[in-house]
Formats: sequence, C-alpha cells, structure tokens
Amino acid sequence: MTAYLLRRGGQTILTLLVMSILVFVGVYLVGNPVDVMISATATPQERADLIMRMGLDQPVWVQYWHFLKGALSGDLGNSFLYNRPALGLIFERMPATLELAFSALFMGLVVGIPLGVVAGLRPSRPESRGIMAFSILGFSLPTFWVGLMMILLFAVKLDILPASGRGETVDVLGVPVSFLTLDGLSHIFLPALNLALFKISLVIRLTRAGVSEALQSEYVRFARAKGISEWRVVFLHVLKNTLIPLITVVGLELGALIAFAVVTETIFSWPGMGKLIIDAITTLDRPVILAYLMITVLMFTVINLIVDLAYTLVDPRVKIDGGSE
Amino acid sequence: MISKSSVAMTLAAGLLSTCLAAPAAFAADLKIGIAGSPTSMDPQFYVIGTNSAMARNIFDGLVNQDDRQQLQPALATEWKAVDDTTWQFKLREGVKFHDGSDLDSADVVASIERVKLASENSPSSFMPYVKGISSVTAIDPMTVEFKTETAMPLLPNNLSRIAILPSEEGTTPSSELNAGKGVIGTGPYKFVSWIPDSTIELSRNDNYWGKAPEWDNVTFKVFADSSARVASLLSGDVDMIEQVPPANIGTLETNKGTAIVTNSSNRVMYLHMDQDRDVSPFAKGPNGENPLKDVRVRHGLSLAINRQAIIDRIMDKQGVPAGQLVPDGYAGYVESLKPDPYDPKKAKELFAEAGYPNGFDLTFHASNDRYPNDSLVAQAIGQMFTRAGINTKIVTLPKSVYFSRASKLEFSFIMGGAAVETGEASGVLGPLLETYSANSGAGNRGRYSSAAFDEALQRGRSLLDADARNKALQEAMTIAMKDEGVIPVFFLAHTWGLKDSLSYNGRTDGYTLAENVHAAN
Repeated sequence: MTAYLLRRGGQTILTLLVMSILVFVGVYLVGNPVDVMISATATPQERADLIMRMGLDQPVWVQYWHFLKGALSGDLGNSFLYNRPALGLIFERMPATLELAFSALFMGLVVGIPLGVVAGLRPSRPESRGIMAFSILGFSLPTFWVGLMMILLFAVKLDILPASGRGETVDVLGVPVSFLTLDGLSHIFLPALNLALFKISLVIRLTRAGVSEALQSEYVRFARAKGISEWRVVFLHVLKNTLIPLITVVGLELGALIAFAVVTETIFSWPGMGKLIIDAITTLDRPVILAYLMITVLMFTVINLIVDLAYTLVDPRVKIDGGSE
Repeated sequence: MISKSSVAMTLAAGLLSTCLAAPAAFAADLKIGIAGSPTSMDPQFYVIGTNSAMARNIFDGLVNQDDRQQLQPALATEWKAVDDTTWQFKLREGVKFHDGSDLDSADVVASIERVKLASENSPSSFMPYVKGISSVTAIDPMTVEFKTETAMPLLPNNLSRIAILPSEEGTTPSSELNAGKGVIGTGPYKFVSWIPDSTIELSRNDNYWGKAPEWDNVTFKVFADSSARVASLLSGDVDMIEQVPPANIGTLETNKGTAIVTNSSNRVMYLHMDQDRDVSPFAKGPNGENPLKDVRVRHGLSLAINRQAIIDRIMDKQGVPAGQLVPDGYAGYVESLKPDPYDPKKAKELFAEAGYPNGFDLTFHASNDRYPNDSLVAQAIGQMFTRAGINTKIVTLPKSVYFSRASKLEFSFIMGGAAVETGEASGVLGPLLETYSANSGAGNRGRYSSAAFDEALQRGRSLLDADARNKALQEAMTIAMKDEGVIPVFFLAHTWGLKDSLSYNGRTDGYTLAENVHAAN
C-alpha cells in the first residue's frame, strides 16, 4: 500500500512538472501581459521598467527557474493584476466553487440514481421512456442557454428565485458556506441545478445501463430463484454492482465540476474560482494561470486516488498492489 | 425519499427568502450591477477604469473631474500657478475623513508621496501623473505647494487622478487596503466590505463636504457576463446596471419598469496605419511597397467609411461620428474639423491619384474582446474598404494576443480605442501620435512622426495660459488630422439600464457613481 502511494505521488510530481513547463512556455508565446495591462498614457520607458520589474525581460528558461524555485518553497508568485499571492486568490474563491460543485454532484446522484434504477428495471414503461428523453435533453442542451432560460423563467417571469450571486453566508470552521441559510440556499439552487443537469443525465444513463446488465446476470436470477424479496435484489445485488462504473465516472466528473464550472459561474455571477481563471487567461496573468492549473492537476490526482481506493470497498475482487506487476 | 424532500426544501427556502426579501428593499438602499470587478481597494494601485470608478465613490482628489471631465474644486477650493514651476492649492475647510479626522495639508503631502509606494508591483501605476513634481510641501495647514521640474499646466488635471488618504495611511501598503484596512477617504460613501469579483458594500458618509448623499447603503455586484447583467436588472436583483450590450438596449427600453440612459463618451475608436516602413507586412501595393505612406491613400480610406451606418446598424445608434480625437467641450477640440463624409467615389479617385487605380492588398487586424462590438465594427469597415476597391482581409484576435503583437509592429492596419482620461487633448494626442521615443508615443503603433505636430503639442503642454494652451492643442490636432495620422471613426456611447423609478446623470468617462443616481420624482 505504501509503495503504491509513493508511486502515485511520483507520477503526480512528474505530471505537475510537465504541465507547468507546457503552460509556462505556452503563455510566454501568446504575448506580453504588460501590453494588456498598462495604461495607454505610459511612456515606452515606463513600459520597459515595468517589464523589467516583473522579470519579463529575462529569457523564458530563467523565468521558469525562478518560478520553480518559488514553487518548491510553496510560493507560486503574485498575481500581476491583484498584487497578491496567486494561491491565496484561488483558495479564497475555492469554498464557493466547492460548494457549488458538491451541490451539483449531490443533485446528480439523488435525482439520477433513482431515475436510472426506474428506467433500468422497467425499460418499456412510459415513465422510463420519459426519463430517457429527459436525459437526452440534459446531455444536449448547452449549459449557458439552459442557465439563461432558468434565470428568465425563475427570476424574471416567476420571480421566485434570485438571478445571481451567492447570498448570505455563515462561517463554518472559518470557511464561509451558504447552504446553511435560506437566502444562501435560494441562491445556490439555480446554478447548482444548471450545473447538475448534465450530471443527472449522465448518472441516469450509467445507472440504467448497469441495472439492465445486472438484471441479466446469473446471481440476480439465482437470488430471485431463492425467493429473495425484490427490494433486496435491487438494492443489494443490482445496485451494488452498478456502483462500480458510476464511482469512476462520478469521480472524474467531480474534478471537472470543480475545475471547469466557469460557464455556470459566469452566468449566475457565482464568485467562484472559474471566473478567476478566465480573467487570468484574458489578461495573461501567468502566476494565476499556473497556480490554478497546478491545483487542478493535484485535485484530479487525489480524486483518482480516492476512486481507486473506493473500488476496494465496493468490489472485494479489486486489490491494490504495491509491488511491480 | 431524501431527494424529494431536499429538493422541496430548497424550493421552499427559495420561495420563502424572496418573499422575505421583497419588502426589505427600502428606497434608500441601492444595488448596482457593474461589469468588472476592481482588482484592488487601493485607489493609487492600478490605472484602470474599474478601479478608478469605484475609488471615486469613496475618495476625492484635490480636484475632481465632473460628468464632462472638466475640473471642479474638490478638496482644494482654489489653486493657482505662482510662477512657471510653482503651484499653490488652498484646501477646503471643515472636510472630514471617514475615520472622523480633519483634512489638512499633511494628508495631501502624504498621499502624493504614497503614489510611489503603491506603484510597486503595479501593472500600470499612477507614477505618470506625478512625475515632473519635484516637491510637495505643506506651507500652512490649509495650503499645499507643488514645485515642478518644468512648467506643468496640466498639474491640476493630473492631480484629479490622485486620491487623497489620511496621512496615517501614507505608508500603508496596497495589501492592507485590499484587506479592508485603511480604505478611508472623504467621498460621499464609506467603504464597508469588498469580496473580490463579487460585491462591494458602501454606506452613506453623513459628514460629506458636498451635496448630502441620497442612499443609506449601496451595494455593487459584479456581473462580467452582459446577459446576466441584463437579467439581474429585469429580475429586480439590482436597481441599475452599467454597460448595457447594444443588443439589449431595445429590450430594456420597451420593457415596463426599466429605462435606458445614454451618454456620449470620451473614448474614440480610431484606425492606426503603418506610415513609417517602406515595406509593411500586411499592406502591399502591386510592387510590394507600403501604400499607407501616401496621405492620399489614408484620406481615401477615411472617405470610404460610412460612419453613420456603423453607428446605426452595429452600435444600435449608440455613438457619434468622429472627425478628431476629443469630443466637443474638451480643450483641444477644433470646431472646423468635421467627420469625413462617406464618399467612395472620391476615395477611388484619391487611390487612383496615388497610383493605385486597382487598389491594393490590406489585412486589417482588430481585437474581438476589448471594445463593444469591436470585431463587428472591423468587419463592416473591411467591407466598406472592399467596396472602395481595396482588397481587404479582416483578422480579429483576443486582446491578450492582439495588443502584444500590435506593440511589436507585427501589423500594418489596426483598430484601437483611446479614452481622454485627463479631460483635454494632450492626454490622447501624446500617446497616439507623438514621435516614438523612450519617453513619448507609447501607443503610436503607426509611428506617425511630424516635427510641426510635436512642437505644437509640446507648446500645448507647457503654456500656463488656458487660452494659449487650447490654441496650441488645436493646432496639433489640426496638423495630425490633416496628415491622417490616425483615422478617427466614432465616439462610443455609454449606456446604463435602470429601474424607471431612478434617474442617472451619465458621465463621459463611463464611471458608475452612486452619487449620480437619484430617485426620480
């Protein structure tokens, strides 16, 4: 187990290194952030001074070396625009994004799994067809359009939910969360649903496929032949086997929810970190871009690890092996 | 089971909270949706519209720019040039900072000296506005004296950009202001809280030296997405929004309960042409030479543009055709310089006269995410050029790529937008048209160079007499426009959308200030 974790750790560090080089060189090639940020009235001399002060006059490998030295001591540099540590900027916005992502995931699971089970158990019933038709819509409608329609319907026409923002927050262990207040809940409902729509559809389809496959299997037929109650067959034998592919996909999707919720965050003006990366990219705020992507890589790696560990809980056949295969 | 009840709960929660929220919206509270978040609460950190606009709610300068960017007494009630390089500013009596302390000349000295501290790590600092000041001294508690290296008639204009803080904050770094400590000004509203990219809360300053502020609490909410901004006004989440996208102006005008306020702006959209190199990468005549060097070609291009059509069709009528770089009412505006008429026939004649009866090849580069509808405007201009016989290609790029490459002179023909931040012409003539050197012409991407223009501009910068200065700036403007140093296209308009129970005094600089919002009676 220890050897396994060590190996995974080594892989992660290598990924981070390669990613940082790619991003660094990529941003360097795109353009000079000073040209985007500096006021039109500054003289060429002032422009040159600024470039020097930011170290942008150095060759790219020297700049990278400085970055690497800082990164090893936990300092990913200051944002050009905010003049504050890039990591701090991201962590400040992370709770809002995490809250949104987990709410969406929660909705995806609590709505998606039951509907998927229903559709899988009785595929020919009209309600099952309805569920499947809904899942196709959920897949194919673009998030930003659905988001705008939701605002139009719930906020503008019906006027029952707020159109944007995060609402009232309360501090839990120093972290501001909004799902504990009514105002906060009313604010998070639409963006979370918007983000969850695709996940719900995905979970429905995965669950349905898993359920209908499990229903064909020997062990389900045997369980039924033994006269076990239908309830127990569905919940213990069918559902548990359906969970394995679901865990993999949901794990990866969670990472994507956290890292790339930007469309929803923009439409609902959710103060999360997705907007930060977009602003950073348009202004070439390199420290923020780098820090953001490094955190994203780290997050995906951790989630993958948790997914692998979760397999062993659900499926006793899976063993984590530390030695070389 | 869990799923149903939790969804129901959330829905119920939403219903409940909006019901509760509705009667709580007192008339004396104001919510404004803005398009971009300030990046700092330090008013001296970064020269960018979003930061400066927010700062103007909280801070004052010695001199303030009014809605038309003309200078008005603020913390100083009067000022005069004692001699060519000495200025004295008399401070207003009885002004209190938000922390209760009184304004005196030590605060002004400390604030001017703080600009250097705030410029550290700034992406674009306020240093250009205070350079040339050799010393600032407090002569008595209510008089400040500025010594300048050379004659600086624009000192009051430059000082209108510098916020005054209490002297105790003279050494407070930007990071502390960003954390909400020391955000203390003299303006109509007091700082309460700031969540970056989300909300800024202000409250009324009961001791304000000017007209009593109308609102108890003001909340600014950031909506980067323009559709989301419009939706939040329609849904009543905010009372007012800035930068209404042209496509939504009609909606808000016809919708019951909302209205539109438009105001001309100080930002001119212009075309910059490479008129320096004999061979230019994206403008080629039949023999590979650069046709843009010929003033007849540049004039022809200007005549080929139907300015009114661009404003009517693309900008939804929000704009004014431009024949020079500053709008009427600004020092340096020349009454006789009218926008070029649309005359493709004359344009073709001029091209033929210059030796291009069959036109030439031109690639026109423009940004696509910097100015309202910038890529659409570029496409329209390109089509007009093609109609006048120029074989034009359009390339639009995101600003992150565009400005870097434009500064490296990788293009031949580009579009830009310039705002007159100081309220007079030298603030735009200098950067765009002065001969490029280490200390001038930073934005002169066409490398226009004229000794007569440079001389007139320099004179305009150094004359203390307002009339003589205005004349010199007019002279410089006329020279550059006759030379077609740049082609002015149109002045953008600023638009605000608001509930029809409110009114707004629009500003040429586009700032959204709480003190300009009034309850309509």
